[in-house]
Amino acid sequence: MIDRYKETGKKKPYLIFALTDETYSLVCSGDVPERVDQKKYFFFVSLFNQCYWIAGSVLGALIGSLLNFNTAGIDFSMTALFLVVFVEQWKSTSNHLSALAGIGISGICLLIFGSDRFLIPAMILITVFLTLARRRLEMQHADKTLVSETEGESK
Amino acid sequence: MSNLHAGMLVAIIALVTLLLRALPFIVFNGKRKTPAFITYLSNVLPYAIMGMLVVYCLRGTEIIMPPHGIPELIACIVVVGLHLWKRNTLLSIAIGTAVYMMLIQLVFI
Repeated sequence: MIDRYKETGKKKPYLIFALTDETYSLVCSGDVPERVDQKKYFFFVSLFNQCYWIAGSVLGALIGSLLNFNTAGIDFSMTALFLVVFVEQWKSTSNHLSALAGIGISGICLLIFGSDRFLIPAMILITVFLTLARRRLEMQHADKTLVSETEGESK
Repeated sequence: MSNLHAGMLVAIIALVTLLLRALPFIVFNGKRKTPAFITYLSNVLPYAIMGMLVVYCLRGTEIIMPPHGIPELIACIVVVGLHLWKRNTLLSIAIGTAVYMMLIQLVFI
């Protein structure tokens, strides 16, 4: 994100302010169409996300008590969003070590530390794991860049 | 809890959240080149974090007692399957959530 937001200039403070989980997942998974200005894309994803968030909260507060259907389970939409982004990211790379480590380490930490306390140990262990796997992952990454460069030349 | 107390709590939470969010951008500002290790992490971390967020969302799933996480499992399969098939984000989320809501409200009561 640091490099992605590097050239954003005046928009940067706002982009940092608006960098929620949801914005983050869209900005790092979103394939920005070629004709779209990347900075604008980041800005409007952040802005719309904030607007939806506020509008949703206000609407919920105003009419939440009037809803007469059972909303139990509607929070699954967040799970679904993260799953969709996970699938998108999975398809965008041939190396699934990092994705699998994220699921695996978090799952193990959940079993050991319980649902209220597993997040921080999981984040630490994921970082440690990725640090140890750096040589391997970077070699693969370099191979891929090489391939895409040669492909680019042949076109 | 008085209104003032609540307001102060929100203010502190907002300040800490904002500071934490801005910290990496302040430390690695544009003037210096971002260290290779940080760039490496920013390349590989999103995959792991998204996996972690999925686990986080499912952390409350009841495995041992009925319904043994079956509604979650079915809904997740629907989301992933539908997304691999149609690749439409909103559709996958909407149908997946609807399936989950029907399962826990009508099937696994």
